[in-house]
Amino acid sequence: MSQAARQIQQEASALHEKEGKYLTFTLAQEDYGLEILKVREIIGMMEITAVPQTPEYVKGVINLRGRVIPVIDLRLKFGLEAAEYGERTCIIVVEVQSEVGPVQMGVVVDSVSEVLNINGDDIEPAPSFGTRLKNQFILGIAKAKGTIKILLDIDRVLTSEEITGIDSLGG
Amino acid sequence: MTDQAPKSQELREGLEGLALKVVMLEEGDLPGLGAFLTHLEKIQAILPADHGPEVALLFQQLEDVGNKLILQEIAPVARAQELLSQGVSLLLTWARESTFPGESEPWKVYHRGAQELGLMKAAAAPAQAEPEAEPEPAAAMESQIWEDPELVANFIAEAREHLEGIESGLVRVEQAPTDLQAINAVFRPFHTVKGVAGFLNLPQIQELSHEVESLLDEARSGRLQITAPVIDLILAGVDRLKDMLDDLQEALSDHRSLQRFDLQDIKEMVKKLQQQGVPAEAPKLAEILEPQEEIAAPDMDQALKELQAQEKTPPPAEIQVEAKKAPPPNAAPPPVEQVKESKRAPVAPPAPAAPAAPAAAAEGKAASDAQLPATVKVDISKVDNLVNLMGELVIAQSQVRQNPNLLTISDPKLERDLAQVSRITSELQMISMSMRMVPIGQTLRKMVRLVRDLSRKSKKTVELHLEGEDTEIDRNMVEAIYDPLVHLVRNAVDHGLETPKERQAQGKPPEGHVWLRAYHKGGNVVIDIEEDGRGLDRDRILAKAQERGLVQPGEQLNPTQIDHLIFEPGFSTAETITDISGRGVGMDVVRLTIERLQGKIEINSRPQQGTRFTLRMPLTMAIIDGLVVKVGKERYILPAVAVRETLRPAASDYFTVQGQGEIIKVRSQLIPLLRLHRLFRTGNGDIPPTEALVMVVEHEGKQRGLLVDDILGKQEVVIKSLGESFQKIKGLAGGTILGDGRVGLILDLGGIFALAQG
Amino acid sequence: MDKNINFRMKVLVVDDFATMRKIVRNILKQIGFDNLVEAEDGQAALQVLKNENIGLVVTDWNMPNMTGLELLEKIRTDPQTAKLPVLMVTAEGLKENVVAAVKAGVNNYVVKPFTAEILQEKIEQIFKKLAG
Repeated sequence: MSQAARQIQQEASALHEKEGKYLTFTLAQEDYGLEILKVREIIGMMEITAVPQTPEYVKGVINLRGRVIPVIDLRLKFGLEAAEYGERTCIIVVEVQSEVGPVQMGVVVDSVSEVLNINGDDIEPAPSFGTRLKNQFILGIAKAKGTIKILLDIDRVLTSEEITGIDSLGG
Repeated sequence: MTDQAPKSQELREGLEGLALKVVMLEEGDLPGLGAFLTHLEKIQAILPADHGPEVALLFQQLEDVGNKLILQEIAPVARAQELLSQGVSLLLTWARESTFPGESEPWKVYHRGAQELGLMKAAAAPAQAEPEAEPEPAAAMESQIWEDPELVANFIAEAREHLEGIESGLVRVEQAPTDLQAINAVFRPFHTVKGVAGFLNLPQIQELSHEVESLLDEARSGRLQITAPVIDLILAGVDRLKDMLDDLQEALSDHRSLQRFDLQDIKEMVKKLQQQGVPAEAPKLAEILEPQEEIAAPDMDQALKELQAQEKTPPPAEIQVEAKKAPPPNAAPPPVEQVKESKRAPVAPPAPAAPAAPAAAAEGKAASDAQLPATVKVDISKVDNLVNLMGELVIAQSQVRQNPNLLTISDPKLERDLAQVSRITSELQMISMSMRMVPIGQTLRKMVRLVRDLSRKSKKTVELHLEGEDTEIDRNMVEAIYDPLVHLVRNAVDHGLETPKERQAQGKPPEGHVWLRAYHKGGNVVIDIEEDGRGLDRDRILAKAQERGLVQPGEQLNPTQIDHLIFEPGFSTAETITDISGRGVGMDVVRLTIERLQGKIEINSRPQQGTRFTLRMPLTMAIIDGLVVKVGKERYILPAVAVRETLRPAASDYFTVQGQGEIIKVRSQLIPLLRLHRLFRTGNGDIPPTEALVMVVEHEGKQRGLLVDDILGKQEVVIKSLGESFQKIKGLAGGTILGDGRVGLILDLGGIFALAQG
Repeated sequence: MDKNINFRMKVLVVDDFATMRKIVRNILKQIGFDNLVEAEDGQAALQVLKNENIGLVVTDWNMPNMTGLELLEKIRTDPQTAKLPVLMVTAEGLKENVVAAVKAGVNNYVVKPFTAEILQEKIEQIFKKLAG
């Protein structure tokens, strides 16, 4: 087998391993998914306390049963237009791995759809063009229910330097 | 051979039993040998008084053979067992008849056998022990170390823990050099490390541990006295071992081979110390003089000189440790012995308190035994969980009490009941916090070694006083407090204290004093680090600060403010940055660490008299008294302790400076104004102060006026960490859940002040 | 090779040093024992003996709080465990303890460091004797 073919096969099997259950949600009319195992809970929109000196997409913090957790607006994180929070806007609380261990964060999404079982065969690698998102954020593209869902590597999305290295960005 | 009385029935039966045991012995039959020896002992106890020397010898030899068989120090085994049988047979004959069969054939056979096995010679060299597959182990374990890196990592971690235990154990040994328990506590870790190192094929570590272990073993059996040089050697061993472990760790992760360590110096020292053993007492003065009948003055002087010459001169930098502990209630006070080597010619024997010690040591052990409280082992995560929930309960309880609907009800019984709930909650909270508390003693004791090393390196004599070792602090604080303490202690010895010469020139005693005190006061843990040295050089500090532009020329600062300048980053007035301090880690990091623990650090210094640093940290790391203020749409919490007063300034008290900064006049003081609206980009950034509220806050000697819209209330606030993501944000100490369930941000004044400036 | 050993029996490893326990367990596994229990001191060991059906105890001798000897004595005085095989793990320098241990009823002893072969031999010796 040639080198290239081997590589493709490796990638394919890596993608295959991404199969499983995903929670799907929408952001600016596009469908996304993240691994259900990382989802702690889904809560309706609530008052977010703004934290000064943080990037735009860091909306602030909320009280989750006595714990203070940060909330990220995914639209803003992905460079999409900000939207008014409506009835269907939710916060998905996920647990991701950071350098200091597991950490809980909330992400604001337009609406939550459903939990889908995604087959390994239905996952394709992310195209290297035409996506706003940096490829490192995407696990792959899944075909499901006649549409495509962009599967997010939520650990990477939420623990990129921009967030964990939040410094005082000027008063 | 004299006739001996007929032997008792009991004796005969006993010997018959012994014979039975011998007959049943198999090769390598340890239980059998054990039973044999025990039985032999029993019989020895019922021997008639006139049993004669041959019988005594026989018993002794049988025991000897038995022991050697157990330890596999006699060969051939079959021959030895046969000898046992022959010996017992002789005893049986003796028991049945009245005389010992000294010339009989069986006796000769036995005698020959005993000689063959090397039992008859006085200083018998033990017969060749059967080589028990010794060469095999080394080969079989060659690769083991890399086969299981996790095991090696475990070993490294545990060994390090043990080494720490040794350092604090040595303090105990220094105080009570003949306390067996204390010595054992230091012996065991070396012994254990040696054992494991053998399995992991780490010969250097094995060898080093063995050297120190053998020294300590001698001490355990009283063949060696624990003096200061011995302790030094042990500490040197600990350091070398630490280096080896570090090397091992690196070798493991980098996949390289181990470094070669030179152990010659340690080995030589061990040999020297072993030879010293227990030094003979220098003859007392009276003894020296006794041989002469009269004692003339010149003879007296001569004798004194002799005595002084024999007296070891104490090393230049001696550390004298005085540890004050609260005496246990039902036992005599533990031995507070000062390991001092007297410089004056003693008339009393110079041996360090040897006779007094054993009694004291026994007392010490009795005291600690009596103290053993009943304890429960609980998973720390459960305790943390409990503490968190308690915090929640405090908040929830507070929320209920503040419920506006509730406030409209006027019902005395309800009032009382709510007050009761509040009281119980508070108490529950105290108790759950106390579960996480540990005595600070261990941390303080770690400073003993540090001071010892520092005083040595800087050639100063330092006396360290520890107070309040039983003071408890939250376990999460213990680690955090270590580095700041080390830094402050280093500063105290290196910069605070003068050299003995300088001190004497000032009329001070040559030895410098350092005090480490820990106590509870007003809901805080307070730690003092005090020395009686030179005090802070305020002129130098001011000059340096002006150089750095931290202080404007002509700016007036009170002494406290000048002192606090040393907390600015990069500030070190030491001329030389020695390796022992001034690494640029600096006082700013110390301050930061303390503030992170919601604490404060105060300085109290007087020129020529010394300096005292006081660390004050809340007992409960997590709860503070907060003032909730409104700034624009947001609410923030200020620590109530920092707020001096609140006012709405009159127009006449408000000034602007060059169109840049703003100042409020409060009575006769001028205080800079900080606009939180602008800092946090909320609300009206231009609101005139006369229409807002100014909160005068103080932080480290500096006062500022914070502009806010309104004060919403005062409440106890549980500090929640904002999480790793927000750790570095200046000005925020954490978050809390307010009465309405929303998050309120808690302000960190130091950060706020800094932000406003930059 | 059987030699009277039941490799399915529960073996209790006692040592206050976790790394040591791991090492002994690894060696026991090499020999063929896979039903292993640990205790970090005498007290815990006695608890295990009360609750579980242990077939062999492999214990370090030099431990704080309760020494191997003290543990052995407690094991021997309890009728439930009086006959329980106990193997003493000791270091070269402490051989004087061995005689005392044997007198107190220890079944065999092994000196650190040892290989799987040595340990197996010692255990075989124990069970050979017990089998009579």
